[in-house]
Amino acid sequence: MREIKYADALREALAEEMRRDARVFVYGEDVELGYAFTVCKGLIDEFGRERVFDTPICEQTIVGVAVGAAMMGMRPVPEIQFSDLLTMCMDQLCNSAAKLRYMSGGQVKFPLVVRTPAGKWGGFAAQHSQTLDAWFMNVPGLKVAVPATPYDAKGLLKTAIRDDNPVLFIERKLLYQTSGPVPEEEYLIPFGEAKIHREGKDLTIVAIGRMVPESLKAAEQLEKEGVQVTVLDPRTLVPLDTQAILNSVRKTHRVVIVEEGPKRGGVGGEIGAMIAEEILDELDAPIRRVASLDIPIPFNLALENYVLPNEQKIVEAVRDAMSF
Amino acid sequence: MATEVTIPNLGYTMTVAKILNWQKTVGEPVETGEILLEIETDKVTYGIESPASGVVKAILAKVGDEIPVGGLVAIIGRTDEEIDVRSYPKEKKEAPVPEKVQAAGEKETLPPVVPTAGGRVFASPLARKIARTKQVDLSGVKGSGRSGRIRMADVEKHILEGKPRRLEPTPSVGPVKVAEVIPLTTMRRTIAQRLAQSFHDAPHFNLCMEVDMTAAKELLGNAVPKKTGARLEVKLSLNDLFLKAVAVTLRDYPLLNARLKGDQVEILRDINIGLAVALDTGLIVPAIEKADQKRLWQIAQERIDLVERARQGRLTLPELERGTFTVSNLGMYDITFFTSILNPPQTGILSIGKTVDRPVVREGAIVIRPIVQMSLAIDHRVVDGAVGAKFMQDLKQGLEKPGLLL
Amino acid sequence: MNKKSDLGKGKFLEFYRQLMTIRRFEEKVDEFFRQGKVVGAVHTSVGQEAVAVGVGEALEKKDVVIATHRGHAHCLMRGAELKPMMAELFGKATGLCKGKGGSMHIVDVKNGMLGAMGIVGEGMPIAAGVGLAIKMQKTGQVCVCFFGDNASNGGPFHEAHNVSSLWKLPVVFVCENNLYGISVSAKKSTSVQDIADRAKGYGMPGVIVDGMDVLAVYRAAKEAVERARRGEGPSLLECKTYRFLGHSRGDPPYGPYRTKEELDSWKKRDARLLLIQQGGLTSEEVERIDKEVSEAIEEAVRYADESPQPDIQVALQDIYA
Repeated sequence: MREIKYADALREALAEEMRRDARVFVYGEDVELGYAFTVCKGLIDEFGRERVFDTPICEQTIVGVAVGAAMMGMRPVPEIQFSDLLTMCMDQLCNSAAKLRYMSGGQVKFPLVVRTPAGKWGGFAAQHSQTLDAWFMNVPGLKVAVPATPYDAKGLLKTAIRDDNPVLFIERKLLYQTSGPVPEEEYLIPFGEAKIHREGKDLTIVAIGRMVPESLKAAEQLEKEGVQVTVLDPRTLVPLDTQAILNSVRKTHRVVIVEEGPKRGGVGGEIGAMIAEEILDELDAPIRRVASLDIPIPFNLALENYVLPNEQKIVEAVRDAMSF
Repeated sequence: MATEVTIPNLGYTMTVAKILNWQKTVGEPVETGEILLEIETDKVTYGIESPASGVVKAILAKVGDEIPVGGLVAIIGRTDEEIDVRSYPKEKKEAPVPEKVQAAGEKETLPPVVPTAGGRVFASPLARKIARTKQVDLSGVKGSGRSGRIRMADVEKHILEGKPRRLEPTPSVGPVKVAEVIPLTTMRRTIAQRLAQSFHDAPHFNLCMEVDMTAAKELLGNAVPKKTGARLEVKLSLNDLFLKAVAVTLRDYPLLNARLKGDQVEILRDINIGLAVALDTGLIVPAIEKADQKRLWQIAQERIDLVERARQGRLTLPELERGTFTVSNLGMYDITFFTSILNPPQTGILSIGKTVDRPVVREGAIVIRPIVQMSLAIDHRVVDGAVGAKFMQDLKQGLEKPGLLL
Repeated sequence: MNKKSDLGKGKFLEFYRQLMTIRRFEEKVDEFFRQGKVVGAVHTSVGQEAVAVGVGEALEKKDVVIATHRGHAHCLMRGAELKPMMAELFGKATGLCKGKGGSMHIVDVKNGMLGAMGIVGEGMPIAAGVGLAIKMQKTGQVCVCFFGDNASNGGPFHEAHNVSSLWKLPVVFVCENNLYGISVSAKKSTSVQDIADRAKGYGMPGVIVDGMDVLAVYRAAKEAVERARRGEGPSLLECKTYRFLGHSRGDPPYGPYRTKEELDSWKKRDARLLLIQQGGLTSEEVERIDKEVSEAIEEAVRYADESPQPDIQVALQDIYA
């Protein structure tokens, strides 16, 4: 099977969906040249400025426009250049897109996808390196996808575009240039379906985004120590594949949840509490979380690495759970 | 450090003892075990041995005094030790109430293995769940986790091993001297509890029968030992035939391969015959799965394997739990006949004695035949005697004409 | 030029009926709110109805409207039925939004009322998106976005006006300047008192309109709507008006931050009186319409009263499409 990059897989998804449905259009800052992370590069050549266009810097209106256009039957796919800037769009994303359908009693719907990259780049510092996934798990009415591989990125983006609901599609900056197998034939990945990358009987690692490849590296290291871990990627946070997570922990009896955002109030808290609520009696060790320290991300690379989670921290957390 | 000498509890009805005489005086040296004084109870005269070596530092009761059980009568200490008699006894001891007879299965407290603060046991939720379902007392489980925490693996290991721990004998109590104290292991305790419960809850109905094993012995005698791969050459035994015969016959008597759960009888899908294996530590019953579908030599092979692993403590929990009917054979101990207690929650258990050549009557003549006596115990709540009887009849026919088992 | 000659008497009667429908509806709702029959908050348009009525006349059926939390008038102007509207305010199952939106979020999509938006400024970027979709779909529709004076001070106003003008979207921005944002007068909050002046900063026409004059509003709106429909881009209409009741929630008409004198001076310019005068309406005609409107509203109230509460299960619906 051919191997392509995460960014290319996303671009293919956009192009295929735009060919398939004339209502799909892409816009945002610097998308015509695909200047930021290259995902939209070249789309304008095929689809023209009517369907691929730059906007001024106005994140709130970028999403607001998506809301209005979606309400009228279009299928907008705006790009917010850094997920940190979602803070500028909170009203339109969380109060309009997520709520207006409900408040109108179902009279309107919002088939829109907001694409945005999160996570470490390396020296982008505190305002351009954040991972805010957890914030949006807490907003009823939104769906949230967090693909970790090129295969998942393409399949999930296509599904997101075809979904009639507002989807927040949170990509990872450092994953854009990673490669992976992606079939030529068309495929979709449904939301709410986790993927198990490898199975091991001793412990389940639930990993998100860039922490999936980190966890896989950790798993190899742990195997040499005689510890076999399962690595499970939920792929979407809303809806969350709770059954897959619970079934895995029922087998291994130990779990470590790994995310790139800060630990306090993070995704690990939600998933961990859910596991403890549902299957307390299956746990042979406390639930462990690996996440960033609750500190703004520093500019200096060594300090950045200190704050963020990585393979080694995952290995230590697993060892800790195993010996408890 | 000083040691107190108190009036021991010598019997169920004893409350006080009279001081008859002192064998030592204050200041005299004494060795552990030497008689210090003699007392009289309502039943017997008794010499109290010194619990320590040293010097008699104080005598606190005189001849003729009546001292209650547990009362302080003397203090033994080192020569140079200063004793303030008024500060004794160090702990206010109530006279211990004579204990009632301990019913089988009542819990005894053992010294905790896990470092506990106020008796608390630290175990993972999973370990607790397993302990609950298997009726394991966690305070007796050794934990391998951090700070002695008990984990699932520890509970499972504990169930499979169940080795007793020898303790120091407590000071001699009464005329019957205790040579050794063996606390009930968890395993033993569990066996005790379950059998007591089974005996109590299930009305046991016993049916007895004799079977002529002539045809069976001939069958086995002619059987060629089966080579099962390079390692094991399996020799068939009568017991294997019993296991197979029982399994096959049970197909027609599903109520004997069942269990009672509340108001419902659950007919079990598979016929897994448990074989009772006697270990030093207790009785253990691993089961051969789907025995009715297995060939005779397969049953033999499994039997050998299970018994060996039972002796080594290497059985797995599923092997111990999957039994649906039990067969117990004490023939190798020359027992000709016995009855057993049902293995809960099963509804039937077959007890097989030794096959012995005996004179019997056949067509009016006395002949010598190998005869085995067996008894079936059934849970009368689930099955009636007639059903049990028919099962036995079928079984007898199958054993006496093994071709019918095919 | 005789203003009256453009539109026949029939049109004025229609205007009058619309205005009175809005007014009586709002007065009733305000009364119910103080009785506790309507919960949460209600923001009434008593006194500023002329803006809705005048703009409404300039629209075609296919056009769409986005309003603010003070959106009953615009919903009625687009032709929403009184019964389901009242039922929605009572939170009943038969309400326009099944009881899940309430006063501030009233929506009637089939009549082109895309929604009352609960957050100040929320509607303007959405209106830009609506305009973009209209342009892409080439339906010839126009989107009118209502907002208040203080909303023109927020970020969304700026962003939405910029992109709408930049992309020449078929949007008409209508500012209902009633001089106050809750208790804060425009003098304290807004750097220019004529909000229409801001239009120049976005390269679009800005027009000041007498918001108490239905006819004046209609004329200005017609021009803006036609400009938009021609594809020439957006306009900003600033309608100077006044609300006769408080902001919401039983806020008194005058006292805490408005003077009686100010209120009275605006009441003299009541759009209702102006309409009667402009249309030459007779007292019989006026009484007849007043009576019919009252009856229609009473009927709507009865309907809403008798309607059932929504089933609890309704809470779980309409989250996702």
